[in-house]
Amino acid sequence: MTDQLVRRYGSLPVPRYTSYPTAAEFTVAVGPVHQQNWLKRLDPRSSVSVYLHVPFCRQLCHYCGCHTMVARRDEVIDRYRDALEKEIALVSSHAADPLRIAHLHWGGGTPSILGVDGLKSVIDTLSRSFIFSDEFEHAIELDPRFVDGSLAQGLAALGINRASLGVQDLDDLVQVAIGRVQPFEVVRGAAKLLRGAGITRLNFDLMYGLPRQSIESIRRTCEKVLSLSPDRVACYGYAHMPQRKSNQRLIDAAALPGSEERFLQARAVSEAFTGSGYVAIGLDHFARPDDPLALASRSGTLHRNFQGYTDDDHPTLLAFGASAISQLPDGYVQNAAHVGTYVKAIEEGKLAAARGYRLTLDDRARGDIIESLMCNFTADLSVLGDPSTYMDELALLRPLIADGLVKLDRHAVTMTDAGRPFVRLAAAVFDQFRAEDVSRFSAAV
Amino acid sequence: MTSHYRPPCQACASCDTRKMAVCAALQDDEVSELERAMSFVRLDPNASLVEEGDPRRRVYTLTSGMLRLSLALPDGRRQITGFLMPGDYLGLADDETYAQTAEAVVPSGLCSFSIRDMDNLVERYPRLRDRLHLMTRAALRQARETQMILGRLAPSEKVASFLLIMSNRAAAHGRPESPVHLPMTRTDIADYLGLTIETVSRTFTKLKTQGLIRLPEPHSVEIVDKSRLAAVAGITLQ
Repeated sequence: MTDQLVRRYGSLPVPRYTSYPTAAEFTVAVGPVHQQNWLKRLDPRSSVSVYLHVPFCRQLCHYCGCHTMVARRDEVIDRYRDALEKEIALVSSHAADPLRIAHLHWGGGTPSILGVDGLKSVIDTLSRSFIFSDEFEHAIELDPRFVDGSLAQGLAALGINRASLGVQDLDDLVQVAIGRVQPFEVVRGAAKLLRGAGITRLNFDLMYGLPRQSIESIRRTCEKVLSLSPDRVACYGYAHMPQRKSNQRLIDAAALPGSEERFLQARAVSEAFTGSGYVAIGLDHFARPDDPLALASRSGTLHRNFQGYTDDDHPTLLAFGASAISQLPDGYVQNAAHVGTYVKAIEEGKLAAARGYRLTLDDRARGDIIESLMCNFTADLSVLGDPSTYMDELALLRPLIADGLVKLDRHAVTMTDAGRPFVRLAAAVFDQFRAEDVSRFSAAV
Repeated sequence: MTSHYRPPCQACASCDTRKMAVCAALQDDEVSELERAMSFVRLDPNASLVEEGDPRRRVYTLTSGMLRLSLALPDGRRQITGFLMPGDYLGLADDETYAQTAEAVVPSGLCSFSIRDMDNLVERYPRLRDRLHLMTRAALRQARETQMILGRLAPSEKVASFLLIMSNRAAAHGRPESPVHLPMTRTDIADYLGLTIETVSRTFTKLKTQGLIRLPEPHSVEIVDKSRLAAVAGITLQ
């Protein structure tokens, strides 16, 4: 039965719904003027989350789908860091009062490419414009190959208290195929150094659907990762889009697993971690039962943002850097994706918004349903209004109900256990934006 | 543009549409009687064959292409009431005047008969009357299907029903069930289903996203899963 369902639904392109509407629906109709007005309207008593994007790496991995580039000269990085700091000052000047930061997340790229001094300089700038909450979460994405003792110590001294290590896969052949060779000892060493420095909350990022990966190799990777006692694990499906990401052209498409194999790989990862006492969170995360993410999942307060799943319940995310997407109560704002364009705008004292989206009431209701499905696998449709307002969605859910993937109980739609891997399809039923060209989205599982 | 001309001899004997049309009632040697009474009409896309309210003088059999039937609504909008496929007969339900406007969707060909000639032929060949009776029943069935589509409330139900019915009709006309060839525009479909063009377009996308159809090109719809599409339509297939 499941095989049939995977064949039927597995290869359908569906968004991962880290936002609704998805970034694909953002338009140039929203720009710096909106960003400025929307920042002015922020409630000064509210806490915000901050995301800092560093779009540089020392080398580019073949599989990468992120907004990042190889930085060959340090001047480029320094100039970018300057721009980040100017942007922080500029954005905060538009918000009425100093806002309180509850979550701070460094992503990339490889944020540590700024060096401890560079990171410190940005954090100092932040602290001049914002108030850091007590016990705020300060997380960073790290490439294990570049973690050494002094970096670990330096990060800890900056107050960083959570680190996410990009592991992807620990199989030698797969590592060669994806252009990221980092033996297990490297990952283990990085984890040890971070913990030794006091950064004890560790997340490991894995991937399935990579070239030359097999269910057996993925199980071995999971076992090695388990031996490092992660607090959290995220496992994303590789999206092969060589027409959009030229670095992915280095990946041999013939070595990629098919949609059934991908499904079984994702299931093997899930079995490995849930079998060892981890709690499955949403579609692709796992956490220790006492981890805040697991607690949020249990209490139905899990959220979804551009980094994936989070227990961060602050509806405002201020994102800094090229391509970074801010989530404001009025809507989404995305900075210019091109580093040069971004830096130039900021150096000229302008906000760098290039695209965005103003949310309507209907978007919010649909966004709530999609987020609730993605996080809790259930959603209350009555937020859309009385049943006559979501008749079309009910009609589109009927095949999923017939397949035993979805249950409907009055106005609550719930994924069955068998249906959970297909939650993005149910979410897509509530998406009013899907345009004719859907080839740009990754496969459903 | 509309052009009429006399068909060459033996045109009927080699006609592909004959076995589906009213003339299927006649033997090869009898069909020449029909041929003598017939003239052939060619329509360019969007050319009008008859207008709603015109006096009814002729009846037609569509031999190629597609016609759309429509009514003008008092507020100026257009309600499309149906699409004719090759083999279909125009003029069955009309009295003194044509009840609907008939226009070509794509280049179309029709056989045309005066009402008097057709009445005479029906007198002489009772099998032709039986065949017309059969076609009247088919037309009533189609009208019932249209009612069912219009009675569906959700856009996905309407579009899914429409696709299934067009697929069934294609099969009944000896063509493949899938891909369904839809020569009409999305606006035509919207005016048929009582939806806006935006809703029609979005609904096609939604059905595609859910893996129920594929859209290899705008005028061709591949039905991936008939029973699931029927589940969306909320209808039971015969």
